[in-house]
Amino acid sequence: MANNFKVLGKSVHQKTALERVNGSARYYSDFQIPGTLVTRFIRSPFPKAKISRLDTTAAETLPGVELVMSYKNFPQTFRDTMHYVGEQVVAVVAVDEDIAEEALELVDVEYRELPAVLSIEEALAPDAPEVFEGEPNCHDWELHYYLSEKDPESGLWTKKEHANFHGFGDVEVGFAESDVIVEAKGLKYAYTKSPAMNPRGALAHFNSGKLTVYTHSQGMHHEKTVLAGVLGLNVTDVNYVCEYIGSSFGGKIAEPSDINHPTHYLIVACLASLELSKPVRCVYTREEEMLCGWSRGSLSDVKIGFKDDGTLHAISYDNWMEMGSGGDKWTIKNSLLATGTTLYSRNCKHMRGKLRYVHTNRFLSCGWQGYGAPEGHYGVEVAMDMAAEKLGIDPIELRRMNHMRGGDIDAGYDPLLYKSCYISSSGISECLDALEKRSEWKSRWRHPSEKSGRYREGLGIAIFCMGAGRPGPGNNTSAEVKLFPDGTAKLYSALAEMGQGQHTVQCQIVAEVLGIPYKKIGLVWQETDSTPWASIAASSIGTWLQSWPTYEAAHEVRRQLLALAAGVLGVEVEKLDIEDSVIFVKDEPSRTLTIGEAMGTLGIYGGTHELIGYYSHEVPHPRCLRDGKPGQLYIPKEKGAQLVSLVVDTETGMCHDVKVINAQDVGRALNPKIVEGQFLNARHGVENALLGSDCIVDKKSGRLLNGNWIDYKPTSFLDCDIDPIIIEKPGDPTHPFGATACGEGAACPTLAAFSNAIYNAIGVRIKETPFTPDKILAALGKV
Amino acid sequence: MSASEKILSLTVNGEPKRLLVKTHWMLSRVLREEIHHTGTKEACGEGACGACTVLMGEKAVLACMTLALEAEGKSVETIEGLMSAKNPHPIQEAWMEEFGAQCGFCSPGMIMSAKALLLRNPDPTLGEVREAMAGNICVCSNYEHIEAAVLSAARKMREDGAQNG
Repeated sequence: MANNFKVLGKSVHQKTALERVNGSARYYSDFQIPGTLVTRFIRSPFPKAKISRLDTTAAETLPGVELVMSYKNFPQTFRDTMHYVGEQVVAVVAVDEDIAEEALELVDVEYRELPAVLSIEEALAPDAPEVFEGEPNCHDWELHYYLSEKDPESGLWTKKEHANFHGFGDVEVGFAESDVIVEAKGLKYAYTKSPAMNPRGALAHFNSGKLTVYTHSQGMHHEKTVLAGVLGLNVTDVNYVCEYIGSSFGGKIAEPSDINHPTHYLIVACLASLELSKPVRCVYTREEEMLCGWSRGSLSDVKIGFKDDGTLHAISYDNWMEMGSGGDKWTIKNSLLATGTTLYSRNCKHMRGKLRYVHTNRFLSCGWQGYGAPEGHYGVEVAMDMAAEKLGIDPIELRRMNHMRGGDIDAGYDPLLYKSCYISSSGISECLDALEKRSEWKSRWRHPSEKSGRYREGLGIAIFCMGAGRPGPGNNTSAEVKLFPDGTAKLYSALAEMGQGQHTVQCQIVAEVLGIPYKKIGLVWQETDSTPWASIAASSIGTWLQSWPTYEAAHEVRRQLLALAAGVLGVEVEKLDIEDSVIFVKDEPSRTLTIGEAMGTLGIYGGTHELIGYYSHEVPHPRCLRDGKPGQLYIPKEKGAQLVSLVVDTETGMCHDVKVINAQDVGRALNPKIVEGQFLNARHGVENALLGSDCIVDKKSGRLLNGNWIDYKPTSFLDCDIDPIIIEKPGDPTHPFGATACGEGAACPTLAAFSNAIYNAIGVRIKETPFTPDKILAALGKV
Repeated sequence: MSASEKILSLTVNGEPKRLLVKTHWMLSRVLREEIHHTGTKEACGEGACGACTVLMGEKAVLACMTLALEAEGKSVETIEGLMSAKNPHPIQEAWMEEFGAQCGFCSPGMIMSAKALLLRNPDPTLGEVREAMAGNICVCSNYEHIEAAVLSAARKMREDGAQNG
């Protein structure tokens, strides 16, 4: 089967393609239950304030109002202290939106304003007001580890100790040993909004002792389990329904147990429904959606030491990441991926990474596409470009000399379980070759000093890696496959499909293993009640994590089927194969059986009515271990290279003719069109680079000034071209078919590639994103 | 019927409808909540993304920016009206072939915009497709696939038209 796939590697239609194009796909907001109550919020008008008076009596007595929620009756979700403009003060649950809004007017609330910090710089200033009382604004990352004592045989680190930075070696020694040192200081990636077409929301229906929750989710089972605990319900009394997600990119992941996490829509809907035993809908408007799910904001300093020949020797990396007044603090760990721990692990002998997360009185944070990796790549890949110039080495060549290879040591990824792992495959050299050729780099690239005139072309490159394996505790995932006598099969899998194509790919795997056509594979994924546990689809992990249980469960069914067929045909199992739903004897292809004949079904009277295969993923799968040795883990990465070309108009500061070529090694493209589609979301980087993506707050009031899609623009058809190049370098051991990962990577290198392209065009380095015309003109000294 | 309510008569996907609406309701709300055609999506509620695009007559309109009462006496087509019996429309077929949908939330509006474009311009250039569709946002940023789908649908519809004509 290995090299002669029938279904894998082909761009078969998406499993739910028709539902997605005919309006029948149901997103949470499409579920309608008669008598559903709606929710409206009063939100804080101040960035920091204490509620000094709250009287909801008049609102409660308005006919049609069923519940008024505040810190007084629902302290698990509402507080009397506000931490950003827009924090929920009161929720009104009523029979319709007009009554709910009328009731909001009847709430009597007064605040005592408190001093606030509205930027990362303000938050870091000495004597800055505290975002959370009694807590410093700036925290060191809790999982900094110092690694030492490399095992000579395996090359892996054997000792891991808590430290006040993450890394290995001694950077001071490393810099002393270096011939050329480059420093990039004060690089700032703006605090930007995670994209989501369908804003956050939920419909909760508590009925006859059972709570059904219709929402979006990247990990239904996990969220349901945590939610049940928070609500004091048995897990069995909650069913989480998530048919279609409406895009998420990580940003809409819920964390019901954390009051600071932007999951209030979920808790409010559930608490109200439990209280009233009626269906309650809590859906955010676009403006409310814009009050949460921010990320990326960071200040970074990078210092890299090289030998004369361009060999990278030492890296020091400092990152201060803004996380607003709460949300996801773990994203910062991924900024290390771009450093000597992983992307430049090949030659880096001394590594020091110091990570800090910083609270401000701005909007709630989340992790999305890249989960911290874009910030790290921005700093490091800009510094690499500066280094190439200083060393007099071509920017592509400098990366080629130093990037990670398959088998190199990953010293940053999973600090919980492993001291270090092996990078399972790279392919970055092949990606660089492809970019060099496609862009005609050798004939087109010129130093900025050779450029003049109003319109100046720039080419910029950056490489990247993104975490794709997550072998930590709780990351097991399961699949069930059923085969029926009519030759159809069904996959039961809760792995989230948010547009990344995972359902299609998993069904392709079932078809391939069973030897039946793809169109005969059905899928059950819609709710927790009818699916086995699946871990959260995050870290571009889906292909790595879910393929094993799908593959193993399908193989289990195949074994059972062939055993039955062997009995019917009177031959040994090993002599049988299945193709196009026909079981045949390999040496005598004319001896065949249908699946129904093998199962011997006789109406309700006899035979086998379904064959069931189930597999729960051992994480890591034994095939992810080097020579099967525990502790010697291959961990896959999403990896590649990206090239941005553009033309800067030096009179207007605008960038024109923006083109992004994204090349990634995916090991094997299980469905090439889906892979291509994943590369297209490099546009999220373009959005952050070019379109003014920034959290702009009024300095006095703390209000968000661009909290809508007119002032905070998503990319459209007109902003850039993306050219996806798929590289398939075989041999990654961590997947049953050698596929690695794709999904988040394409947004990781874009800001650095943009910065490098603009520098290449005009010879001035802009340190702060987004690269808007005002900054380009200021860099050129024109404003 | 209060002063803030009126009877609205319109045709939706060929079916005449008569219903009581509040005067401030938007067409998207009426289509989704009253007629239960939830294929029409609402993502921004301010005319910035095109997810709610439907056809009024042969023109693409933003249902979140159109008062329901503006549809009085008009013929409205939503994504639910595009299939003929169980067969997908050529635009829907092209969408499936070219992987025009990722998360799919923008697809109904995107497809209705494409239909309006192809009704007035059966043979658009890539530039014309981009310009006509620029008001439709896909946050999965799947634009290259969508462009391919629109161009492929245009070819298919011209061929079908030639055969039928």
